[in-house]
Amino acid sequence: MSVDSSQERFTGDPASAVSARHRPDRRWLTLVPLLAVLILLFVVPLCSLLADSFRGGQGFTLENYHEQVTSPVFWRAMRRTLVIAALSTGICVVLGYCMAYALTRVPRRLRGALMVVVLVPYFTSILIRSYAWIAILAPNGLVARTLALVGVDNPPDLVFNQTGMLIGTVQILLPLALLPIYSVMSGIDRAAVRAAQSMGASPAVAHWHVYRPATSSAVLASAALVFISTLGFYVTPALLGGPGDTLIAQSILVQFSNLVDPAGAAAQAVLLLLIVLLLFVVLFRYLAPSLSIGGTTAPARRGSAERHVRHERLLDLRARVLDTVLDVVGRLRLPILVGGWVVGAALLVTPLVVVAIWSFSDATYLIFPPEAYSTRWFADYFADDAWIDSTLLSLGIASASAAIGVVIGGLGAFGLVRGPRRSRVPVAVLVAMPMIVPPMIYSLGFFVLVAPHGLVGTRLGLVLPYVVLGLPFAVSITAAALRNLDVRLENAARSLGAGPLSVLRHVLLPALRPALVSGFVFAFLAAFDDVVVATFMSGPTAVTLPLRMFQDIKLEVSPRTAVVAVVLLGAGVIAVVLRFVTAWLVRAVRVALSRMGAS
Amino acid sequence: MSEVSEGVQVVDQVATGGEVELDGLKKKYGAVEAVRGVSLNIRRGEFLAILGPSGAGKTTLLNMLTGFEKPTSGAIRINGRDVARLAPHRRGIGVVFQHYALFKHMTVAQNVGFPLRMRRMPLREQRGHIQNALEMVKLEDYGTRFPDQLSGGQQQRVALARAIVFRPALLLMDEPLGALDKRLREHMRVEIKRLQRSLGATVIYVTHDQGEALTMADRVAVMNDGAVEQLGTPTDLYERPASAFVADFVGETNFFRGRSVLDADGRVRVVLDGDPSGNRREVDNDAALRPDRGVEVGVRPEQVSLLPVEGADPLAVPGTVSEVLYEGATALHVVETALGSLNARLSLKNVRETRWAVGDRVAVHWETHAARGYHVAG
Repeated sequence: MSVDSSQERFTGDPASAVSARHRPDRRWLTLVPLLAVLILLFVVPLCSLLADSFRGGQGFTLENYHEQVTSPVFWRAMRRTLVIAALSTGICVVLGYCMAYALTRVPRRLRGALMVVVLVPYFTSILIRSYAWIAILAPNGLVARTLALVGVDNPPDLVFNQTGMLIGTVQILLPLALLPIYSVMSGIDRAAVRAAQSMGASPAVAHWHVYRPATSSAVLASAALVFISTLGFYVTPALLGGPGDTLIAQSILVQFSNLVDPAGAAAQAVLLLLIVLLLFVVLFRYLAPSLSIGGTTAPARRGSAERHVRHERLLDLRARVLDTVLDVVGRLRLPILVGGWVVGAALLVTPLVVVAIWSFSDATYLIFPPEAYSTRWFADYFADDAWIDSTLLSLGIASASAAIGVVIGGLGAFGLVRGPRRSRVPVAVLVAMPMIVPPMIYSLGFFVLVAPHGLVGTRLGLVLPYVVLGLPFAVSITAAALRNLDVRLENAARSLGAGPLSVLRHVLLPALRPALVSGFVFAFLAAFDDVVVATFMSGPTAVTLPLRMFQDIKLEVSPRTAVVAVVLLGAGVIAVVLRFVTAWLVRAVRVALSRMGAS
Repeated sequence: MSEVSEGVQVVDQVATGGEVELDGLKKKYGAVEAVRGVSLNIRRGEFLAILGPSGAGKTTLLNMLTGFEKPTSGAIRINGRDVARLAPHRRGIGVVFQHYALFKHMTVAQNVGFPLRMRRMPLREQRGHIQNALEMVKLEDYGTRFPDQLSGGQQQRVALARAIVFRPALLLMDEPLGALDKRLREHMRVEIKRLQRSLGATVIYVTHDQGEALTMADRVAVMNDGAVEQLGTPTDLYERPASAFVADFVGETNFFRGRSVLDADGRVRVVLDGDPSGNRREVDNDAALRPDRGVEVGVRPEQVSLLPVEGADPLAVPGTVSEVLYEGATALHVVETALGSLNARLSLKNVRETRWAVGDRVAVHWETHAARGYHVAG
């Protein structure tokens, strides 16, 4: 064959070329490390937790569940959790919808600036953002002191109760609600809206009948994401809630460590897990696209095709009322959109600004705005070995787990996208699970499983669960990039004689580098921001930075955490700047070299 | 609702189109004039095509008609009422959008009923109108389907039904056939034309496809660079193009550079650059030419004949056939002459008599009435 002879000429090895062509497809092998890690480090701990929840004095028992289900304390926590979750979901989705819509309608340059307003808080630690709310909402904080200037001397209690919890939760989850809605909205063709307008629909009516239906599955998806996330929230309620306002995640921890009732905690955890999984199954159709579980894009909901004749009068009336309401809303659309952004931006940005200012406070207690400024808390931080050790420990652990996560996740993403079709959905669901299952449940399961084996308080004991928490990000980001990468590139490279390793090195890695880098960043942040796993797995010798901050805040609200936040933010900015400077230097050197070569 | 009575037109049972007048419509974006003063009168029941290349200002003009752009100046009068400053939903213009813009989540009947619903027509009454409109586009059995269950041609018909169901005074169509394949496109031309005639609708049809414009329109406005370059019947446009741009854009044209001279008999003739005979050639529109100017002479390829060199007319230009492209009913011959390369489209009946092959020496000839001269700009 002519192809073989030409290959022979270049490779001098016709045999290998022929055998390569008949080699069976083994790309599924790249899934093995991913599945091994997820099953051993994620599924097994959850199963052992399930087993624990049925464990009693004499083997199998339902007593643990009976005890929880009949306990009013548990039910109160559960009800409180559901109420807070429902409220924050409602607020986040409505606000997120308005803000996302406004984003699609503003000029490109403004859109960039507004995206920064959304994204910078999104990447900032949940712990730091929650902490900032104390400085804003507490009796000596920003709001109270501003109100005092106006003459309101008895401001309402805004923090250490459910109000504070709600405000903090909304702020933290708003970007999570906004981004999926925005990504769908930015792809909507406005031609249909124009068509509706040309047929006599005012802008608001056209939006309601034509635009909104196209976004409904994205809205449901982000509602589901926000609701499920709130169900497992621990840090924000623990910092901003009052002593009596325990949510279910706290309740699990209290049951486990204060009441020393591991079986009861396990039962609570399993009950919460059931709710979460039930929601996941019911809303899977809508969640699948935003969790990057490919193949099943939710179809837009369809209006009913048949209308019953006897309801026609009612439908006419309904249409008339609806359109009248919409006309009114339509007249107010500009104030609504602008107002939404003002509220949203204030929510998102204020905590960051407050933290930056507060870090220069001279006071040892909470007072904001500060009465005197100094850098004493910076000096304090850099002089304290315990804090520096924690910082270095956290950096090391987060980097290690993110690096492992990117390698395993990158391989797994390849297997997921290019591997056997049948395995795609189940693997993608399994990969998404660490993002869906509340960390409190997972940490408890992991802790109970590994505690007897001396892993608690070691670096390895921290890195392993963090690898699991980072994997969903590493896999989904890389998989999305791979899906956009034309498989014909790989085929072209192979037809030109590249083996699998050369394809990886010369085609895949260069194309996937941005995805791998952002997968690393997300996985790093997942680990670096964590308090829950650290609560279980840290020992006296290994206290992670978030845990140290958390404990410090619980003990006394001082500017110290603000200092850490500013130091970290500064380091982040320097890293980004350095990255651009080195890229520029490399390019400059390359240009210089190529000029020399040319002459 | 005051909005309904003043803005949206009540559904008109009588199928009559309106009279439309565009009066000095202008649109500026900063210093750039996208549309520079377009004035057109469209008669009741007339089918007017707006033809032009992309960037000619068609889309801006269309957006001003539909109301998605506000004109910088000028008026749009429908039956005497200026709508240029009304919001889109108060104009009562039927629009067929480029990619149909059907509502995917609504059935065909709901799509077609949408304009009626917006006019607060009770559902009971709507049904008859919807059925009527669907019958007109021959989709009466498709009311319960969703748009993605229809073929491209059927979707096109739904868009049409939706635009006519409320009997608008003016029907706008924006490249309505652009997304269809060639055969379907030609079929739909006939359908749209039939529908327009039976409704007596006034239609403004925007297209960049000259075939559509020439076959469907009563009159065609050729747009170039934000202005109407020529307004006329299809025959006018093709046989008497007013400018080199129109001659080139509508159909094909061979252009020869030359210079206009005033002959002794007081008529203007043209000397072509490089013409070996140096003849002063007549052009059909010599009355429109001024002497002593740079001129382009345009001749349609089908007006060019290729004759044997021996005994040829003294005005014929000698040349060599460099390419023959078989086109079915015709064959396109590319001939190299001293005037430059030119195209001759010969009907195959003639080719059978004189089959020219690549390399043959020929005499290129055209009748005087086939040549038109245009002043070179600048």
